Amino acid sequence: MKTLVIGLGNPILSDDGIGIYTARRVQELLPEESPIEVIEVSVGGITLMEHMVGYERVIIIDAMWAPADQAGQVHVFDASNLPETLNTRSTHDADLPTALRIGRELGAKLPEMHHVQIVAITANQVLDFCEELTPAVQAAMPDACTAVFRLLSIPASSVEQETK
Amino acid sequence: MTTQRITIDPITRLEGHGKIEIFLDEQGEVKNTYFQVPELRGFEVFCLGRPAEEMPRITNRICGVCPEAHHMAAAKALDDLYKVDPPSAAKKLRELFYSAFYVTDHTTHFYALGGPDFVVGPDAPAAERNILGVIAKVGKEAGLKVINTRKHNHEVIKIIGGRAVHPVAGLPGGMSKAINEEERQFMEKVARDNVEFGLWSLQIFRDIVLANKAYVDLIVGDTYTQQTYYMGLVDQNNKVNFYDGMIRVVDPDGKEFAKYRAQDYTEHIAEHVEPYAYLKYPYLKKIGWKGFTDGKDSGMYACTPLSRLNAADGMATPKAQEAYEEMFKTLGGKPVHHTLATHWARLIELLYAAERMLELATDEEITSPNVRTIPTETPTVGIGTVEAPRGTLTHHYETDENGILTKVNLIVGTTNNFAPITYTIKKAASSLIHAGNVTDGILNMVEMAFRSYDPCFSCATHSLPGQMPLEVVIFGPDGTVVDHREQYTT
Repeated sequence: MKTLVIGLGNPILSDDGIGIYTARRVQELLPEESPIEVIEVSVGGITLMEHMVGYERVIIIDAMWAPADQAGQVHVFDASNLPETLNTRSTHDADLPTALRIGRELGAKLPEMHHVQIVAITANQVLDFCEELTPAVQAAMPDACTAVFRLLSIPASSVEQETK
Repeated sequence: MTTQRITIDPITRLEGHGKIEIFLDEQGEVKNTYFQVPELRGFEVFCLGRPAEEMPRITNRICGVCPEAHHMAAAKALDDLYKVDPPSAAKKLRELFYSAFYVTDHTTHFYALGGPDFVVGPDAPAAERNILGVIAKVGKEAGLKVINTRKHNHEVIKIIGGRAVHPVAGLPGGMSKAINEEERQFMEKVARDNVEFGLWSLQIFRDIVLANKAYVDLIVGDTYTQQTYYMGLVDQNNKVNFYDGMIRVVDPDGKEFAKYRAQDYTEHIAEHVEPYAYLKYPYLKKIGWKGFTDGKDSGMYACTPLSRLNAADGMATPKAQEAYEEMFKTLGGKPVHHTLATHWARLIELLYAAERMLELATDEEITSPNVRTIPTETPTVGIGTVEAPRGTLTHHYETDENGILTKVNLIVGTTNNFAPITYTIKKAASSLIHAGNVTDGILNMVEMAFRSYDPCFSCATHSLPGQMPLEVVIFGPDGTVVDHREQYTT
């Protein structure tokens, strides 16, 4: 399966950068010969959809806002379960589900909804300009990496060893 | 006394979080309106202490909507900071890059944001007033053209900017790399397609909007009309320019009121503060702040595609000039005070950007390797201005002798329009809401007033794109919620 891993977020907005940092870590842990591509993206909507064209499966790693006492949890779901989005909803074009619909209706080759998988890390501090993660979110990075590798069907145990 | 309060929070199809509150009196007439946006914290503080040359790369992360505009304004502020004049090929390369960006941005607005109001219809169900509704009305061809236009121009932006979405090539004194002949040929082809696309989009506007009397009446009606000063960058011939020039302001009669260098902005612009809003309201210093009111005595000014066309004497390219003349002739001469005509002006700008891009892509100097002048002066203060799609964008930096930032001030496009947007909302709401009658269609028509500005509060408040979900809340006379409406784009 032609697979793309997208680290989504903004590295200058504190915990909003967790998707990007996790993607960088995933890239480091992937074997050199791996056919899986890893990119960083800081936009939503149609532009995000355009990055997915031609792939059979996409894994998006992103921050998901939550109250402070719930920050640092990792959730995995797919785009068919994406009711509304925060940073991926760019109202200057369309939100992610709409963008995927537009792409499909126009004949773009896009992954099925259940093959657009999202690894979301709950985060609270996503509105402050800062280049550091809060401790709870930082601590969730190994689990997020593990979740990505599980989705990629790469034995999690070997990765867990390395990420921890 | 009791009042009814209506809240539109946040607003559909605009970038960043916005909230409208409409207060009704006992008769159900509009008593007052407030427009608020929240703020992200600490951008200036975040920048202080950093080397100034990082700014083109940091500021383009403020927002995913117009990183290219911030990148250009920052690069120009660095030219000024280091007192260095880029070679002419570098300036042309920047303008070529910026023209490609304008094509993508204006395309998105017309087909996804503002256009649906007209193309699909202002009182069509919310679920249809989006880009899919436009495609359904105009045909699949429109969608494909929109997607392809964006895709090809994004490739141009990536080649010149050195990276997709968040460019890195702008440096003090020019650009980090030149383009080769093969790349130039690709850009020329994209530019030619853009010109066709611009002409085609204007034809859609004529066929769907101008051919419909109800839409034309809506555009020229009093609900969406306000007489303000208008601002825009102009070249040496007073023609619209996006990348460089003098800032020109015309009064509500269309007469030149001021023309100044970007570096002198503090002599002309001051900022008013309201206790309920995080954003500041810029106004013309020499007129003064007179509240949210229009006319010659009010220092309120607008800075939009329509404002730029009002503030200039014409367009610098032939087809755009024709379209410019057609618009002013149709709408009764200059200046045009009908806010909704901004959509038309945006398409004229799109055509200009396409034609300008073609001129630059076929300029024999454009592949010159001479794209950088190395700075040698000690930095002090640097101010750079471009026309962002949503208004004049100014970056102002001050540094110590080592180029470390000690002051950062950004006046972004939408900020210029904050006062006229607030006024427009009040006027539209007062004109449309009577006897407490509020429907989805009416609320959408209130929203249309400011959607024509394509407001982007994400960087105006130093925030990120698309932060919040979109909903409408209506409060009863005693302040309790009587209705809850959601105006989602999907």
